[in-house]
Amino acid sequence: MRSTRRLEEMEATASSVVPDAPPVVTLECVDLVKNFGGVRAVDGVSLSFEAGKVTALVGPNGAGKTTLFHLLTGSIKPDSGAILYRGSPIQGLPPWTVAQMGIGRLFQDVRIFPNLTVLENVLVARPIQRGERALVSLFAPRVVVKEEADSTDRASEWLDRVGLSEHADQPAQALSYGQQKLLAIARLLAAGSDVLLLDEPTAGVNPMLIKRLLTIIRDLSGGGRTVVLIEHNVNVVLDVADWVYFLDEGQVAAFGLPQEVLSDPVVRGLYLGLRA
Amino acid sequence: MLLQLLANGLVNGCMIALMALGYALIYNTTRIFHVAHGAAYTAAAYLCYLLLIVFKWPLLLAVVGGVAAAALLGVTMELAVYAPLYRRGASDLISLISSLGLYVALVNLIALLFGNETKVLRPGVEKTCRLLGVILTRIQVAEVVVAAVLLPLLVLFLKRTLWGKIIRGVRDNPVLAEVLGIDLMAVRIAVFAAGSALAGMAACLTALDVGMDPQVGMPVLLTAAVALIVGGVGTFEGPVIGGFLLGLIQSLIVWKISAQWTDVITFGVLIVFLVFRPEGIASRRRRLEESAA
Repeated sequence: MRSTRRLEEMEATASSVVPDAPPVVTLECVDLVKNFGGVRAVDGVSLSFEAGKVTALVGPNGAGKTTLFHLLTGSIKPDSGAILYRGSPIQGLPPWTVAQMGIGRLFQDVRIFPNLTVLENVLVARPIQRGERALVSLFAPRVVVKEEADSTDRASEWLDRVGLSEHADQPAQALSYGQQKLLAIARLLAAGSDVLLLDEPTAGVNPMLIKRLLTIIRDLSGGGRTVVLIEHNVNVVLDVADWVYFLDEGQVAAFGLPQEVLSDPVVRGLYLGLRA
Repeated sequence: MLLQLLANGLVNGCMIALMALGYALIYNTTRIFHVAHGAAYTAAAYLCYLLLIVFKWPLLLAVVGGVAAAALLGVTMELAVYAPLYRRGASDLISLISSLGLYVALVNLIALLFGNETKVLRPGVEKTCRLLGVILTRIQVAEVVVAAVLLPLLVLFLKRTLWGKIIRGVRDNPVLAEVLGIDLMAVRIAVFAAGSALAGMAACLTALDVGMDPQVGMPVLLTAAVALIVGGVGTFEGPVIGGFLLGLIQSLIVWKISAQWTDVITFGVLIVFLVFRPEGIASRRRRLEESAA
């Protein structure tokens, strides 16, 4: 199943339906390897993600999907292999540098700053602001005040976009689980991330909010951002993904269009427990 | 009499609050039980002594020198000890033991350089001010004025400014903050500098008021840690409230019982809070804000 031949077949099928314009690859990894003790969590994985496309990573638990996100965001360092962002290697850079370059991440277990207000959660994530520089804060307070007012306006717009503007002044911990996920997405949007790594964005979210989330994801990719999605919900993958990588035991087992990959009998057997 | 004791409690509370807020800045953001904060306090007092008495600098410059020395020492400790430990994923216990080692080494170095005897920075009788029947020395008035300016400014800074929001964000979740593009190491250096500077300010003013010896840092540090727990760990207003509360309680103990009982009652208050209100005073206010929202 996990043979190179199989992968090549699917890539060939996929390339036959790629539209005319050459794809712009924003993020890619080449022969990435990560071991934890004796366990090889990521085993020579090579992937590429295109601007303006939603790419889904699917696979059974333990396939190495979340580890891959940890590697792409600099939270852990690979044992070997390369990660390229717009052609430049970024492996080994600290997470905050990777984030400032434009790679944002939504965690599987929703993470917020619980004691900050909803608006403050978004403000903290705005791109580098001059108010962050201590000397500017001290000697040019007017510049900082104006910039903070602009930031607040922008952050409010993002909250409005995800439907949380009415909760702006509430502590973030007062939001429901689904709303906290929307807040985390608003924060990613405010950060101006070019590449969005979304780890199970719809897990534990009610159907109404899922609908809103999917609309946002489609809009983001339509606007030219690179969206990478780890998702267990097959319907969501079929709905929003342009490409699908199927991972198993730390390796890429299949790649292609969502319908093809998910209808592949071997993938169905491994992933969905359905035998051909 | 009561008014005078309350005034003394206020002066004492101002210094505890300054020290506690500095300690809270560091502890809430880094989760390091920074025992060597007491050494930064002692070092500031001794540098102030050196500049004022030995080098005959003007008082204001000597205090500025003491505060700067504390900030520099705090940042050096972060860069040389805590940051490397953090990068290696050391446990909280390792940080605590390292901090204890730093404290012992620095305090002994100070004792070696300056001797173990008590030093007085302003010999003779201090001029006093009288207001509403309360008598305070000029240094005590300065302690109240400095605290009255610095404490609200800092609490407002943490609430309103971008840097304040970033510090509170790191307090809530440092891993998330880093993934959002916040330079965690820069934030840690900033809180060590600011927190140690506050300790330096409290040290210089207290030393000018009552003098100091090389062991002065530890009891002050422990009182600040009690103020933080009583006020509410994780908050920045809490340690200020806790500091004033302890200052007043300690003053009342001196009046009603004896100064010898000060530490017993201080830690008694800590035990009462740990048993009946471990979340501290300020957490109640946070919940009320939430329910009002």
